[in-house]
Amino acid sequence: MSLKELINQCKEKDANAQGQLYKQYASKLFSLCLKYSKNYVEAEDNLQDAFVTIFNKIEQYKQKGSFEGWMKRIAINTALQRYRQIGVFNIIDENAIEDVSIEIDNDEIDLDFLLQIIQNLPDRYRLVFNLYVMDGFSHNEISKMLDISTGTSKSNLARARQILKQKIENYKANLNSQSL
Amino acid sequence: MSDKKHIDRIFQEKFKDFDVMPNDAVWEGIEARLEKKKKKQRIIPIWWQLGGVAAAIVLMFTVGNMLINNNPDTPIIVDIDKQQVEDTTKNNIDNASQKGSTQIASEDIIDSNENNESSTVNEEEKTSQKQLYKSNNKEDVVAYQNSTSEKSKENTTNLISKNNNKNTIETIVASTNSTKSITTDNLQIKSESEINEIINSSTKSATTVASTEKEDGKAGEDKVSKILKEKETKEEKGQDIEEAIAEAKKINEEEEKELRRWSISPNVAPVYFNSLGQGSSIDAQFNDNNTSSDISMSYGVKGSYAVNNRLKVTAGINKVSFNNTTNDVIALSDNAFSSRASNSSNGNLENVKLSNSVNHASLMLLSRSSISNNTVSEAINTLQTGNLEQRFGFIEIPLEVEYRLVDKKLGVNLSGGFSTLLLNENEIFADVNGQSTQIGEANNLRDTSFSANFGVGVDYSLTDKININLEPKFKYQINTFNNTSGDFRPFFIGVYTGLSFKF
Repeated sequence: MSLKELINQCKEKDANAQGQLYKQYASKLFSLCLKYSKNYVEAEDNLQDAFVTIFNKIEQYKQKGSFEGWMKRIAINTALQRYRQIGVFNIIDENAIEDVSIEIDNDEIDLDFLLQIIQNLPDRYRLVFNLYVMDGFSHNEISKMLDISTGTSKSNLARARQILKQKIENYKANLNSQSL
Repeated sequence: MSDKKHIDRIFQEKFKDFDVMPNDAVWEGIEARLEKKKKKQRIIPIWWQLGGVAAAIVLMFTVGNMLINNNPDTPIIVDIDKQQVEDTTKNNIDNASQKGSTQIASEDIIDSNENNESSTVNEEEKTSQKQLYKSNNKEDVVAYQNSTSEKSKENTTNLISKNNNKNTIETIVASTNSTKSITTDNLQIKSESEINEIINSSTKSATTVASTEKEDGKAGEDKVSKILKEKETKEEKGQDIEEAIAEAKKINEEEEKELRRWSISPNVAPVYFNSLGQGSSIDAQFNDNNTSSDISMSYGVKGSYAVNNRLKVTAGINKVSFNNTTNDVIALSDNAFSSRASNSSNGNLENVKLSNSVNHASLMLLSRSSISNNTVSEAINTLQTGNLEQRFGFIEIPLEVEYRLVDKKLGVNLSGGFSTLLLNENEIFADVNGQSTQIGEANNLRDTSFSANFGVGVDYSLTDKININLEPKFKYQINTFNNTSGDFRPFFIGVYTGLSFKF
């Protein structure tokens, strides 16, 4: 069955089609949710919310643009929604930090570790980092999505990078000391 | 080994193929939430659906009752009777002058090689038919028999003295090949007294019918007023339901923007006509005869409007025709004995109007069973047995509600409603010796009647716009005949198949 047919059946609330669509896209969206959430359980919650929204709003998808992209936007919005609701973004701007380019060694860094340090970032840093680095949104877009200034977005990103770099360096140091 | 890389690149590369399957529990949660939502939405529509079905039933019942009880045909029946009486009177007078007018019906029936013979028969009849009774136009029977029997008695026509005006006597047309020695005078002695008896009984029964119908009419009025009251209360309730519907609409509107509401489906169906009880639409004497029907075809188109995902209202138009064959019918040419034999209806076929082509016929059809009960000459038993075939057709306008039980690629739905049937075909044929002759039409078929419909349908969606349907339907006819004998409750069954196009 083509994706188009599958989508049309989902529009008719066909339970089988919904199951199939879920199977096809659950892993992609779940990995996205994992990055945007602070832990596994929250990621599951976000994924669930995202899919319920997808199935209820699927009629609004007009076959323009990629369906996967459309679903990702919903998943991201779902994740953002969570923090909007609890008002995390009302924190005052921090002082803008210079955007420093950080260079580190690239070798066998464990993916799970990277995910873990992303999840452990403060909520705002994590969201901005994901939006900018992982999903390619501009600071301008991010400022609108999160209802912050572009300056805040930039400084949050810089802070996120520094934290991540720090953690990776610590991790590597740990590895080295173990191997010695 | 230590490439220096921008931290963004590290994350981008590492997460490029990042793919994690969530727990099954997540899907179960999603399913549960979707299900819950569906159920919530359905609460009001169910009331709506039940309300719709109830409204259809009430409407059907009301209309049916009004028509049955306020039978507008009642006075007409009486009039017809009077008219018939007058006609027969006239006819009698006519007959006195036109002596030979009761001839063999439509000579086309008769094979050409028989023409000579039959005309001689006519002449002989003329001489003996001074007091011949002419039939009113009501019943006709055409039949001709090849029996070469010499039974002159059966060959005679009814001879009845002129002074009896009020008879509704059926005459017989038959072209018998039998030899002519017509000893009519013997039969003529079937005296006035006997005929008078018959007449009296028939007029009596006519008046009783009229009076009972009057009573029915009164009772009917009461019922109608009751029904009207019921309707009013129902309408009040209906407003509540309408409010609920309006709410439901608002709620559903967002979700159903994309629902294809309209569809049109041409369909074709083999249909089979039968009666639930034993009985005959033609005459009481055929009540116990076997009947059979051929499977005929119905064609039409219907349109539907989807109120929501589950409920559809459909309307359409179909052409449908039936035939119903009464078996074991024999044709006679002897009125004298027929007046005794068919005790139930004086020998008349109650519900048949002769066609013009056999207007002057003196034909008679009898049920074989009714004859065997009488003390009639054994000769009858050698007569050819034939069939009486009634054909009738309607333009059917169905109005139905369809509820979708299974809403998948292969769907199942229930439908119920009623049809208005407009009569557009009405013929009666006598089939004797393999020859079919139109003898007239039924006079008890109403121009407008109804049927209560119930069906279970299956459909399969070929694409999201085209479905293929298969729907067996049972349709119980209401008010189709205004005067049937015995327990004649007609219905028909059709298996409707077609494509439906949604838009």
